[in-house]
Amino acid sequence: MSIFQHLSMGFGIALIPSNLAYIVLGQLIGVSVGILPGINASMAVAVLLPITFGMTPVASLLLLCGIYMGAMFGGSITSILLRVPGTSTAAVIALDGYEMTRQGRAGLALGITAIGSWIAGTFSVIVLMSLGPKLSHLALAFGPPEYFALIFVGLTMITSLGTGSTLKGLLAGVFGLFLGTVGMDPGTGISRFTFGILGLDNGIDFIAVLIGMFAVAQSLENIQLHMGSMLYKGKMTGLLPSWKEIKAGFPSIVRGTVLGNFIGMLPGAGATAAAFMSYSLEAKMSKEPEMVGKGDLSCVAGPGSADNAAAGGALVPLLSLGIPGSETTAVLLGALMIHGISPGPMLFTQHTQLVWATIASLYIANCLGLVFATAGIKPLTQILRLPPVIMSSFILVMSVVGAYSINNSLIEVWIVVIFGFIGLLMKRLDFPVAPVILALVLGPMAEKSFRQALFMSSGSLAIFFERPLTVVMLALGVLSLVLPYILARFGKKIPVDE
Amino acid sequence: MSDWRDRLVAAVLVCLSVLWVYKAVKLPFPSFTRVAGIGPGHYPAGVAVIMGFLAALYFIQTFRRRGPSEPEEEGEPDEAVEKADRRALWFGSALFVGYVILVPITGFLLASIVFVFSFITVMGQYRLILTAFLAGLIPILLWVLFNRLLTVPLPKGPWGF
Repeated sequence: MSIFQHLSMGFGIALIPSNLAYIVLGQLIGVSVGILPGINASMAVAVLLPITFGMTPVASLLLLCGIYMGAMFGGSITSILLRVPGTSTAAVIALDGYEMTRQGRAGLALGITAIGSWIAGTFSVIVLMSLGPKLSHLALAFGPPEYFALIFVGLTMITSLGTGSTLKGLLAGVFGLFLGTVGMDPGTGISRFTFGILGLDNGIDFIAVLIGMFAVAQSLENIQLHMGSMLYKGKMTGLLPSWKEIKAGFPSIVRGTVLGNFIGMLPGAGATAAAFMSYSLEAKMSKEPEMVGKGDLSCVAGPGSADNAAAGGALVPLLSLGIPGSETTAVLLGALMIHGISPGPMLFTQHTQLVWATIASLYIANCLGLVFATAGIKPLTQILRLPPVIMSSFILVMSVVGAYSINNSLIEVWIVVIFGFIGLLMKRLDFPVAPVILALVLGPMAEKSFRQALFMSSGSLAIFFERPLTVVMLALGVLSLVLPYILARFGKKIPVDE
Repeated sequence: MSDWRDRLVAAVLVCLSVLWVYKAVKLPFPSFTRVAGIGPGHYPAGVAVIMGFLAALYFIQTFRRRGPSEPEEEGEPDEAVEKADRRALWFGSALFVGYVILVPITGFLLASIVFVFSFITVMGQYRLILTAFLAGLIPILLWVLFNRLLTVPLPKGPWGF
């Protein structure tokens, strides 16, 4: 079957009324959580994951992908209108987006971001459907050494490409690996570090850790913020930019899309890094450098496209290699595993309908996102009337239900509580949280591949240096670890705008 | 500066690393795994050593970054606001822990009603009727959704719900 035949089959499934309803619902939830400051896509997907337990795998994935893509659209709305980023990915859009609002150009800023997000989202889906099957075909030839090397690259990039201190990123990543050692040893079945707690035999559930670190920590943090009514009271006209304005922003959209999609495909880099890098690029390439930070259209169009392109890009390693590129795709991995589906090279051949329905749903979600982000801005921003205390109480109760329903046990609920406080402490000390989650997911995979490779070689480490692909990937991993130090020592200091 | 907190975190991580290495060394090394030269304890011990090393580096770094105290930034929240924020965080956290303790005793529904009511009362200071309405609405909505529609059995109390 060709790509187009697969795609039409995917659309056939995604357009079934019940599935379409899940996509619309997911988009609505996604755009709403994107608008709400302090609630991001990964938190919403993790907290709502238990709702999908009773659904079919297709319906479950369509709903969760709808939320994921919707949050990317919604995040920029409050950044532009109120300078309150709905998501971390949209933080950089606030710099010039809010300035445009102050100049009475809010409609143009929102319009160009919506169009850029749509173009970027569509491009990333095209890349996913053309690259995904090829990559998974290539990955079929991967043995344990290649898988270990691939996961090693992912782990090093998670810690070094994140924003902020490299040491803190590394420490957070290794802490995730450390947590991943709890539970039954995959090779021998021996219990490790469970301290007699039976519920820990299967390891520390990463969904519970994620709910704790994102949902609980953020909800507790939100009750401290003195946020009054945040509704935008200004006029909002001209949401559809003119042809001239689209032409002016188009090069930035293209640059943001290509850069964002590439960065999104790298494990661990994520949409936030993509948006910041795109902003930096646009600031350097701006024809009016004096306008940067003062309402430059290209500095809104570029990052607004980059975060959406990165979100789609992160699905490539997940669906083709079974390796999550971001914390949200880690939850999607969990959703697939709960339904008994192992993401990886076989996914495209064994679960064709699921994969192509998901791809088709991303197309539909993108178009819906454009509609919601233009026609629905006024009604959707009414959600900001909801006081943070009420939202926090809802999320905390939902976190308990969500954690309990993972295994119908209170152990996961306590994991949520403990990691909620750890997450809060990490926020206070400026530690990145995402590396912990990704390393917790990737750590056991790395150990399994490493040990399988050593079984193959009867204990010789030479197996990792005999295959060219493994050597290249390991070298890439080491390079991404040492590069920040080399740049810091010998490179020029890059000024970072606050 | 939160140097003491950074140091405490680094020290806890070093202690955890030592505990992990100690426990990992004591793990059995079955003969059938010896061909690979790696047993159940090697990988965790390796990870723990790296974590201990990085935590020690982090600990040292807290001493190296000491410099002249930075001038107070404009627009920084005043002390009273910070105090109120800290109090809100402590209250919120205590209520949440209390809620999780209460769930297996009274069941999900009752514990959630009590939690939402006390949480909104303490944090939000809304009108009693609105607080009572929300305290009933949120838990019942989630209970119906999970227990009835999704058939997820939520913890029951002595009254059967």
